[in-house]
Amino acid sequence: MQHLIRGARDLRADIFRGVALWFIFINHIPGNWAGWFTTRNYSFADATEVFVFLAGYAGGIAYGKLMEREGWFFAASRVIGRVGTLYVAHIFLFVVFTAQVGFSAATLDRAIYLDELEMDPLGSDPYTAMLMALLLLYQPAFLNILPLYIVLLLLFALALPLIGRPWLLLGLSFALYVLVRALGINLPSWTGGGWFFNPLAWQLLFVCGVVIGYAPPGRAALALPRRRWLIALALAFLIPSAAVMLAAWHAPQLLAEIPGPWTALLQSVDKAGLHPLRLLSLLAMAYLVVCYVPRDAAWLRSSWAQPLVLMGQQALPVFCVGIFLSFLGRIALEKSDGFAMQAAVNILGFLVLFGVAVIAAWYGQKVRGGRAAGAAQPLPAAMRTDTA
Amino acid sequence: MLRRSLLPILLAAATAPGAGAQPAALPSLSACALPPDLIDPARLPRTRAALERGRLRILVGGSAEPTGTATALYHARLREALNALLPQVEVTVEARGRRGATAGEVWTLLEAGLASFRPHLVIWQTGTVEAARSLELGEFVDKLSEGITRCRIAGADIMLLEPQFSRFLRANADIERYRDAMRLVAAAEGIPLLRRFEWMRGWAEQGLDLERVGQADRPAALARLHECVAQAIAAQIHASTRP
Repeated sequence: MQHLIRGARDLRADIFRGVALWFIFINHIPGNWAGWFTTRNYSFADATEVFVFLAGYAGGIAYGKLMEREGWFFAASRVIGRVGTLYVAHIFLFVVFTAQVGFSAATLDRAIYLDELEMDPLGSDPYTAMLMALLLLYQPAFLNILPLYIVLLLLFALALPLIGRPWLLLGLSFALYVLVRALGINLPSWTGGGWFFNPLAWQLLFVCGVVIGYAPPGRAALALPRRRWLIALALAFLIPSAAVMLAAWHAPQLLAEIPGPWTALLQSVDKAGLHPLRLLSLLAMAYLVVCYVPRDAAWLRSSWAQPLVLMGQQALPVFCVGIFLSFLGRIALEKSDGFAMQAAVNILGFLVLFGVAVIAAWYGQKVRGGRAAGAAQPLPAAMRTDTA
Repeated sequence: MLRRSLLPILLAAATAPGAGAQPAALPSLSACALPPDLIDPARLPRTRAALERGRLRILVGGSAEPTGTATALYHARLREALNALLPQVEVTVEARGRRGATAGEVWTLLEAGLASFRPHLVIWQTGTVEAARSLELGEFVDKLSEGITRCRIAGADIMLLEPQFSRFLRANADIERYRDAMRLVAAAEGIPLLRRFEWMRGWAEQGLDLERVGQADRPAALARLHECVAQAIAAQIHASTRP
């Protein structure tokens, strides 16, 4: 498997992205026992935050390099090319997923699938629904992460010239975040209620990733200083958050007894607008990882880490297949919820995701190998770096 | 390697007894047991007056089609449950609804029913569609308050009926915020909240679980569930109209 892994990358980003994709698969199966071990149980941030942050991080590395070598127009064109790939993948997933859910709802006589996954507008007004889906204004459940990513990359293409001035970029991004949250601005949605993930708020997390990942010409990427007090601060935030979240899931009556405004604060933690507690959780976790996991840590190359690294490197196909599989998993658990089925769903699910990553990596390598052999000049490394 | 070490577990899982669907017998749940703290203390004065006169008309509205096999629908069972509980009262139940209807859309259907059917009691089922589409919470609350006020002006009592228990909504849709909003509105308006989510979670723990029942047992489980919901609503009406 080692030869399928692209080793010149920051494997920390790849493995955590692999874990995030795995958790997204797990969390999308209601009633999955493995769901009790994913980050959302002990942190305000769940897999989506990890995914978006690392997308920014990888984007900062790859497109930053391209930017300095080829200029803004070329780098932005590459980003837009990536947006095209994501868009096609999203529409394909939309068709596959709606067909899957619609067929299952009809065959198993479970209209509730259509209601819960927001598929009923497609049934009552199919022509408008198709148009709205193409415009990204109609996003059934689970089909809202790729549209977020698409808009984030579009904004990134525009913001690329600022990549060399990280503080300005961060400042503008933060200002937009504050403004959007204060005024309640969101992109419109056909079914009402705005986007499930508001890109205008989530861009801050993406930009944090970009700024940390970007290496200015001739220099290393921004090195986060390792300070004891910062580590203590991160822990002082993460440990009580973990306690609160565990209580919220397992003993809500305990939580209700905490005096003061805490329960009200907890209830206000929204996902659509990337609540500050979610943002801080992810940044604190990322800081601890940067402090305690060196880039060249040996375990990142160990054989048990390899499947997750590989999944992280082939994020787009793994994500799409994961959405499809998670619904199959849901049907399986509704058929039988015993230990055997729970184990089978999770183990088979993981193996299929891993298999998809292996095939995608192998195929990508063949294509790149053929292209490099045929072309007079091999492509620059940055152009071969996927960011999703 | 990973694959090699996982294979035995996989095989074990596939061959373990009971790996397929096991049609476990439905639990009896003879009383559709309902903890007393899940009954709301709020009162229904107009319904009480109607009971004293011996006639009760109930209008039910929600985000489901009010058609289907009559025995399987909870509003059809509600009449039976009330007949058993209040044999001297003539109960009529009418249902309005449309799949995927938001609170506002359900209210429009209910309002038409208010004029034509002149109910003493309205049961407004809502929240599922709002949670699934993460619709604006403030708008939802406004719609509820407005509907409750108009219902009062029309001379009828009203109860809010929570969404059904759903693992999906619990995990993926932030349903708690919408349930909290309904709880808040009901408390502020002094009307009973029918805590169906909580009821169904309790029944699911006792084995009556629509999301975990085999295909063959599903119709029976569905009918039983409607019966239990109907009995719980009847119990709430009974509790809210006691002298």
